[in-house]
Amino acid sequence: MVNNKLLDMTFRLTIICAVAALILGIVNIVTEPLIIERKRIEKEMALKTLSDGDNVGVVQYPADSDDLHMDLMALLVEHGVIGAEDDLDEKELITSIYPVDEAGTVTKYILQLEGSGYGGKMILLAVFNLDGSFVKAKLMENNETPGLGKKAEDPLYYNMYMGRGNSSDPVPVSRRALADSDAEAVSGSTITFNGISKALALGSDYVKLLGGNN
Amino acid sequence: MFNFLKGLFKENPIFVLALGLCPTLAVSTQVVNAIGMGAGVIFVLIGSNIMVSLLKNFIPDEVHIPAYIVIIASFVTIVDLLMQAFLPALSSSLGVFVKLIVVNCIILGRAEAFASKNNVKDSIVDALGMGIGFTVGLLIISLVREVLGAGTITLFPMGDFSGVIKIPGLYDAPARIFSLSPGALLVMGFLMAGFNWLLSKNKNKEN
Amino acid sequence: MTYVGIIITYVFISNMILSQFLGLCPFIGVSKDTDSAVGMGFAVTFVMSMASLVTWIIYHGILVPLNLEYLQTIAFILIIASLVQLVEMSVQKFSPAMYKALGIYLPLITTNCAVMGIALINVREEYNILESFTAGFAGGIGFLLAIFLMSAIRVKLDKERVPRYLKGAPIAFVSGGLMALAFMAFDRALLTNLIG
Repeated sequence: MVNNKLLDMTFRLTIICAVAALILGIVNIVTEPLIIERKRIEKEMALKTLSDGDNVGVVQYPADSDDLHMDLMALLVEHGVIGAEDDLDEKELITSIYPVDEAGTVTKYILQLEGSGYGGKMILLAVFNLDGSFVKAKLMENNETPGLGKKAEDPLYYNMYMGRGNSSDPVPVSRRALADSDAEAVSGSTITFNGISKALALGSDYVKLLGGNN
Repeated sequence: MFNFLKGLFKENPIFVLALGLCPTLAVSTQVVNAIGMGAGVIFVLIGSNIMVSLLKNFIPDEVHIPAYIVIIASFVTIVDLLMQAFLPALSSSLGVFVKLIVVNCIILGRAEAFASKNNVKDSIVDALGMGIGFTVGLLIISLVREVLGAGTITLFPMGDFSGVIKIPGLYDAPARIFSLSPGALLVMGFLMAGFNWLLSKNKNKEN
Repeated sequence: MTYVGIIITYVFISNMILSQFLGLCPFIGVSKDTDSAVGMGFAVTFVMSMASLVTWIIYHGILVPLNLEYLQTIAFILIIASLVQLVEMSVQKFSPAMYKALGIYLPLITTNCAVMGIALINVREEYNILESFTAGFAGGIGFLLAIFLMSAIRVKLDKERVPRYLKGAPIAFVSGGLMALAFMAFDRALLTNLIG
């Protein structure tokens, strides 16, 4: 009798679990392609806006080259992005590279960068000229605080980086390197600012090295 | 009717029963998040209440909690997948809190206290009342926090309207603390006190 | 991130309760006296560490290889529920004294957002198994710290004159808000300065 009851209980619970899993499977089959498609379109739209309608080339990934890595670290140290003993893995922080070309010649690069903000990981699409100067950017995934870090979703936020990043004028990585009014604007969301600046500085220096090679 | 109204006021899940607080405070930084979270909770609550009420004779007593949890988790996953597919912006700003609806005490609480003892119709009404009560509570908190903390009211973008109402004066110099965690707890405390006061005033009138 | 970094992050900077609002229900409900608050804190720490470990194994060992990530929520909550049950039974069998102290809090942990929360955060942050365990443990300690401090405050509050409508939960929330304000001093910048 006891056994029977246990069996019955297990049986009923199993049925509930099986039905639940089945329903979820069906919902997943319906929604999964939609989710993937939606993400693709979202990225395509962002790339289109950022490239100003110029042709966006095939996605590339950071080269696995020790020489490039050493050069990059040297540049980052020189620009005060990292300390002399520090080391970054650019292959983890630059997740995609899109060359933008005008009639066949590459004029700009769009980089997908990963930064760390107040709410954790931030994904950023940023456009750089071949000399590494910043053009514009769009903050994609993020968990920043509304009213504070979320302000970085506004395209106007990136005006303070505009044109900076070439060899004579590095991307500002601390508030001291900003104009007073800009420094005022990012106060209260320093973590977000630091995360974005660091990502942009890395992107700018990477493009500088890339620009010469292509 | 009584079942419906009690959730809104006398047994308001947030201010009176103090249930489902984690998502309440975490997502109440923007009005649009509150609406989305509320809609998600209402859907899960109605779904799980219906299923629990239908299956009340099928589910063995000894394992009723695991059975309820499976039912609730299924509805939560459905909401999560649908949100990712159709409301991506909302889904990303709610983050893990969509999945955390599963441990929202209101839902398990209503399944246990109401749906397992009542028929389907009453259970739906109960779910609606509790769900709307939860949403209204969430809306009030998020309205206070967003207006004071960011100087904006964020709704859905429609046509020319970008979805963000900027409040003059506050937008340029918001009291940012309200957007952050201490502000949430403070607002919650004072709103709860306000609710207590309203309830006691009401009671005095009845006597 | 280093293990020290993870510990500092989850105990102080992203404290489960005071900055992420996970586990607020017991924070308000079980903080009326210090003994039960500490008991709850230890029980949660234990379950959070175990749950981080087991959910990691199930997620990366079964769900990811089989492409079943969408069953994450249902799998995690079942793991947590059975884990809590298992802990309850084994504590009852092997240490009746401890069961007496912790027993009544154990069932409540199933619906504690902090446990489910840390399991989901581990997935989001792409931690490896040891990092997940560390995060779970540190999250639990952070929970313990917050709930212990809260209970100490509430014991004092009981003796104070509190405006009528603020009595009980409302004043607890206000005190929690002030605590969270103090915890804001533990900034992410602190971590950068400490360990880079």
